[in-house]
Amino acid sequence: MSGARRFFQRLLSAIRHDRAEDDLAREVAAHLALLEEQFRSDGMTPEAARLAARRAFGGVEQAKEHQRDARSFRWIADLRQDITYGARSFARSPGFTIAAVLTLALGIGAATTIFGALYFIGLRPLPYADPDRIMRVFEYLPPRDGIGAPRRGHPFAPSQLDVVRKSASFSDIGLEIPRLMIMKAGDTPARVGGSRMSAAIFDLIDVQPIRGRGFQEPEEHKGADNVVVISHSLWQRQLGGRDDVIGATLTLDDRPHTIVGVMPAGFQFPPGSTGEIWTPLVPAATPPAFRLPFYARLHDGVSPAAAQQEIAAIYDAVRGTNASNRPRLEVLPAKDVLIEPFKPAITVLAVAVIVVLLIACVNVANLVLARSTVREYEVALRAALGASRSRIIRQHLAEGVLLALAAGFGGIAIAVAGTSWLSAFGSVGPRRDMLPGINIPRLSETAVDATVIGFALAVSVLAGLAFGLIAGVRRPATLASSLRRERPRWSWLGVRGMQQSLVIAEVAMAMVLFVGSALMIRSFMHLSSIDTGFTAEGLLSLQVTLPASRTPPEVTNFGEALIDRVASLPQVEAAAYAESLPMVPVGRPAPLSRTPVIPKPDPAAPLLDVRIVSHDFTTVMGMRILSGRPLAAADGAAASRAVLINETLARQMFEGAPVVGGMLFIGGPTFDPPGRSGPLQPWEIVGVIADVKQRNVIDAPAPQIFIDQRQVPGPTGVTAINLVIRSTGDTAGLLASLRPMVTQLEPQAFIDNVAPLNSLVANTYARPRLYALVLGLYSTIAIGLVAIGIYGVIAFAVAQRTREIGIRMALGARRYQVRALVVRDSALVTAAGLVIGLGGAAWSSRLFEGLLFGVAPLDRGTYAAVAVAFAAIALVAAFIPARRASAVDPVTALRAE
Amino acid sequence: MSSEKVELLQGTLDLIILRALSTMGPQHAYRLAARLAQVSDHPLSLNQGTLYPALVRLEQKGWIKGSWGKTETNREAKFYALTKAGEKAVHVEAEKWRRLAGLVDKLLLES
Repeated sequence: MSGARRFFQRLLSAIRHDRAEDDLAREVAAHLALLEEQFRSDGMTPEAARLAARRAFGGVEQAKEHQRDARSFRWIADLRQDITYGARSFARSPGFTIAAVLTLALGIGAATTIFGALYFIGLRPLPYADPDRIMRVFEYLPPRDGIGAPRRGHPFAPSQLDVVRKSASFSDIGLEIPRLMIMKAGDTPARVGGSRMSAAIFDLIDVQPIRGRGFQEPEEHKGADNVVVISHSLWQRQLGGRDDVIGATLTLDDRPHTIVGVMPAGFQFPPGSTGEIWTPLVPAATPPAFRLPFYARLHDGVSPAAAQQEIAAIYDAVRGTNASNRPRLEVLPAKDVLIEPFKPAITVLAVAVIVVLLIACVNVANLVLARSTVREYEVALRAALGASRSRIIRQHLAEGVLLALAAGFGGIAIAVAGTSWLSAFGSVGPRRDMLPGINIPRLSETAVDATVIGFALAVSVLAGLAFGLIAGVRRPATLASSLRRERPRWSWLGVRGMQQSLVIAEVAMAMVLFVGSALMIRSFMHLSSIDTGFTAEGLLSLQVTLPASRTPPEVTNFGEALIDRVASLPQVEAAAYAESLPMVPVGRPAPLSRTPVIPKPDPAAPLLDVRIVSHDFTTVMGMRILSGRPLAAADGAAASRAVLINETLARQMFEGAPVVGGMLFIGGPTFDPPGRSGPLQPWEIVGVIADVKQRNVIDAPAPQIFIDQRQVPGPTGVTAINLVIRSTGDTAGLLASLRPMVTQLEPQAFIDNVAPLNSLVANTYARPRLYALVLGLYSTIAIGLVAIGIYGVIAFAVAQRTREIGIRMALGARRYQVRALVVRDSALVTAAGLVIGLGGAAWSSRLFEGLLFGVAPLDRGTYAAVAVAFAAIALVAAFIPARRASAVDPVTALRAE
Repeated sequence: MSSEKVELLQGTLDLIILRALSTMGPQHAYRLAARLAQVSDHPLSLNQGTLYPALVRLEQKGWIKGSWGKTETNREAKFYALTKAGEKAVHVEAEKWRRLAGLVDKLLLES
């Protein structure tokens, strides 16, 4: 025990170095004084007594040295000395230090920011117990229209769970479906996200509520399902964190729900979601064909492959398939499924980060190399005074790490700022009912935590050791040769050779990144310039939601009345409404035919996109009519049914035959008169509309129809309408005049999802935009660093060659020749780097698969433009020192020697 | 091996210091050095280069504790005193030493 105690005391005394040193000096002085007193009392003169005391004591410094060795650890003392020395030496060359620390801090900060995001999104385990055993199961259906990748589907419906639960591979099995509910708290209703899910999910993820309980299986039945488990944040925000929350009532979708549990802060399900309410999934209330996302916990010791075999057998039993006609099934870890869509982007960003970090390191390495040449004399002197080779290398390592750690702390500060910038992209998009455009799960949780800081420090230490080795491994010059001020040899193995290789490497790496970001930016520009087929510019969209109890005619009457009043406002130029807006996901099963006979369902056929609109919606949206006429005010409830179809549907169904005036037969719950389902209902095609983008700007248009809301015979299942308004005034003013109109017509209605229509369009390519933004930023940093690197190396070479340049000029070299000499040097290095970089970019372009739209990964124009731009930047970076070189006064240069 | 020799010498010196403090009470380094020189046959064999490391070692082990005080001639000096743990250690270390010395004695007699 006393041994361990001593070990810590020794470590500790390294920290209390100064106090221990003072104490020791005082003690030795006291000892000498006592000896001296003794000798004086023996009759010596003061002078003789002092000398005698010294003699009797022996070597004062040796005694102190021995005491220090026993008191502390030698290496700590050495390290301490190295650090003090290094810090002093950095203070003496502030230019070098600031340049090196800033460069490296930028590199480490950039790398740490992205590492943090990648760690929080991809590496961090899901916040559940034993998360690696939580699996998802998918089936793969043939692609619609027979093109593209197989569609991933969910294998089971809630009513089939009883059979599936007999599985021996999984301990818990549950289904989940996300939902948005309208929560009424006081007078202001609000939309809240959440899920309906199986009670088994609580055991499956093994996270229990902090208050109350999760729901239980008896609550998965109609009538018993009015219970809700809420998030910690909703508890705090909506219920003031009150203690008697369990048993309190929350009105969701006009139905009172009893709060039975509160989940812990930060809880999320499904993984990565921001849902705040969870209600039981009632199998009896879910259509049998409605298959939902499947979650299951694998038993210990069961492999996903074994589970896959078993689940295939269960699938056959439930769905009546066999090995020959069963779709492919796959059991995948839930986390892999979560990050799957981001894999390509994650790879690209990881490469970008490594490149930026390496370029920053290369720049600093170049600075360190240059400095080591300048410090040659100092090192030679130390060696001559007896410092061993290893001691000198250790000194360099300590200096390198010191420098890099300073940069590391700077980098962490940059990462804190970068992370808050980046994580803001993870928040909800312009509307609650559409996916936030970025929709990168867990991005908003990104923070600089201990792991991320550890990464920054580890990178710093590694970089620092590398710098130390670069500066330290060279055999120190002899004192004599360094006193003769011999110039370093111009060889590829010397400092200059190393510097040039490093510049080639960084030019090549920056090229790869530059090309990549140029491709991403071009892809983004392509996306943002795609013609959507409608005019989003200047249109404001907003949603008005009515109580769920309102009947379809009530909703229609409300919509028609509201739109009349809105259109009468002085600042409103045009206004229309629709059940759903473009870019907001919508899907409605509606069998479609040219005859009244119900066609055989074809799972591979594209879903019909049904848009229920006010009669002038297409006109207000600026959609083009190709033939016939748009819907009209006359197409009212009593008029004959009119339908507007898009050109894709016209092409697919009528194959070039005349369309306008023809009949289209449509079925499904929305189109059948209430209480009756039978043959398809006839609608007259009054016009053909040019294709518009429906879900996003990329997907090819699906067959689409527009019908007037007043003519919809069946229930739409929606008691909300979306307004599009073109107005001259500002949004706030418009909303202020709109609100009383809405309340007057329907006191319980509320307005939300207010967003410019073009933001809904932009939201669909927000993710490519973010990638382009980050890559563009990183390649800008990379190019800036490379330009500084080239400038630094050339400037250093010019400074080293001042004498040579002086002689050349004394012998008659012209200024332009000197400039050419310097620029040529840089041009060769840059050209080599560019060629390697172009090759590297072409080779790595396959990483961009799936990330580029409208631009080929090997787009020649992009490559050429990037190479030319880079060459120009490199030339400018080299030209500044070249000008300085040509300004050398030969007389001064030679006299300085 | 020389390290074993150093180990043995260190242990011996530590025991001698502990013993001296145990019999004489708190002492400063000068008095301890004088005492050691007095009891040893070779006064120069124990110089300050070994005394100071031994003192810091014992202090770090928690066996002795140094504090600044005044000598009888009113000069400042650092006085070392045995701690509670040190008092126990004197007995333990002395016992260890006796056992070791006995063993060596026995071995020497046998050969």
